[in-house]
Amino acid sequence: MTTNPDLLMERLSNVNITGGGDCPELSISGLREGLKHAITNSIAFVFTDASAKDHDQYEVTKNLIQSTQTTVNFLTTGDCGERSRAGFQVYEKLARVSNGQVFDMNTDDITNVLLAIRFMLNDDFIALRSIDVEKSGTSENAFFIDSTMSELSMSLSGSAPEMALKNPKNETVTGEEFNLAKLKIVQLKTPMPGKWTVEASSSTAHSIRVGAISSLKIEFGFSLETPSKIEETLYQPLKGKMNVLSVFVRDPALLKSLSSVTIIKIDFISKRKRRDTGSVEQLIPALKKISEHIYATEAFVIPEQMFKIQLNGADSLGNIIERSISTSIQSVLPSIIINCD
Amino acid sequence: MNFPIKKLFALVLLSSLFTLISANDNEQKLQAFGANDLPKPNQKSLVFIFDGTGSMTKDLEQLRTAAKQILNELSLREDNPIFNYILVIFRDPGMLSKPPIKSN
Repeated sequence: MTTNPDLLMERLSNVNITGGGDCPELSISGLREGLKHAITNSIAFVFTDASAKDHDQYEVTKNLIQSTQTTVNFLTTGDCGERSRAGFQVYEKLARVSNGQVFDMNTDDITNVLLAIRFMLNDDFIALRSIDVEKSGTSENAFFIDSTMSELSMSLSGSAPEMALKNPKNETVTGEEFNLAKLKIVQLKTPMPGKWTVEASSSTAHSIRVGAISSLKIEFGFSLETPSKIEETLYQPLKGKMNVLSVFVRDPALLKSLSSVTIIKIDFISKRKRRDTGSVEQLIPALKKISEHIYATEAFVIPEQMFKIQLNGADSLGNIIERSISTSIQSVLPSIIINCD
Repeated sequence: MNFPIKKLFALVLLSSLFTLISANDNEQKLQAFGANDLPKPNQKSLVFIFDGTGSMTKDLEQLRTAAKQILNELSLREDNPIFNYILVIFRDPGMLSKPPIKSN
């Protein structure tokens, strides 16, 4: 772990490739180790050609993702022939929880894929919408571009990926594309503010991530009482209590108002259940402006299951703001926090 | 002699409670601001988790090629969005390793 990129390159040159033999590997332990040292809101990439032997570490790793709000992407070049089993599905589950994706590719594609997704490293990059579809087919999805956004990106991971993008005037728009057998990325500069739609299809189960480069930076946090600053809040709400959800805005001049948050409850659908993709019920607590930079809800009952937070409001020009502001979240039992005065 | 017995008692009680309860991985990260060595508000860690087993030699080359270009580009920027770089190599059971922690 280092702040020096040259040292990273040196380490990468010195990686000792050894062993192998049996296929599933300890990929989740590796991920867990990385997450332990990451600062909040980070991004992780897992490289492997095998499924995970240690998929039983899912819960602990999920918790690390949620407490650090880190996006995890998997670049896989193999699966030990057991793609539908727990060892590989754990990658899908963890990616989904973190707003990341599993990218399946040939070894020769790795460089190009990393370069194609490097926009995710920008400090201005935000996730707008995450859609996961359990089966093959076509879906139409809408999202809102506001005037704080200078660039739009969409990535679809799945076989035979197709995306057709329409702007607020219902005109078909094409952007810069990156195409592989199981991945399609489209990027577009200066997208017009308003409601966009993307018709996406794939011949297998697939994931779609819509993101943007935006000058509006939002943070969030939970607390038991209305906070006066972000340091009084945590990314995970406390179980069994009513929590206040606050949103912190760095540059309020970009906003007209923030009206509410949508708590989107998530259910992972097991393959045996016949139901449409999770995320069914919604809870929409209103936001009240507490100060220049802080908006907060009243204390409310936190759902038992995992959920994601979507922020609703309007930018300074009146365009709708609607964006995801978190990974999946789950309430946790309180642990004692000792303040040293 | 002014002896804060109450405070001492509370500390002892709290610390024993703390050892009982903190035995899980349930770390919650409070955000900290202020010191020079800390990340700027919008910076992030760039984490690479790499499978170091036998079949991954070419994959590693591919990652290095991309990392070189990406890191070069990032270093040209006035405000590097990356605060630090974390590399974890995982292998067969018993061979989990990570590079030693180094600061700037």
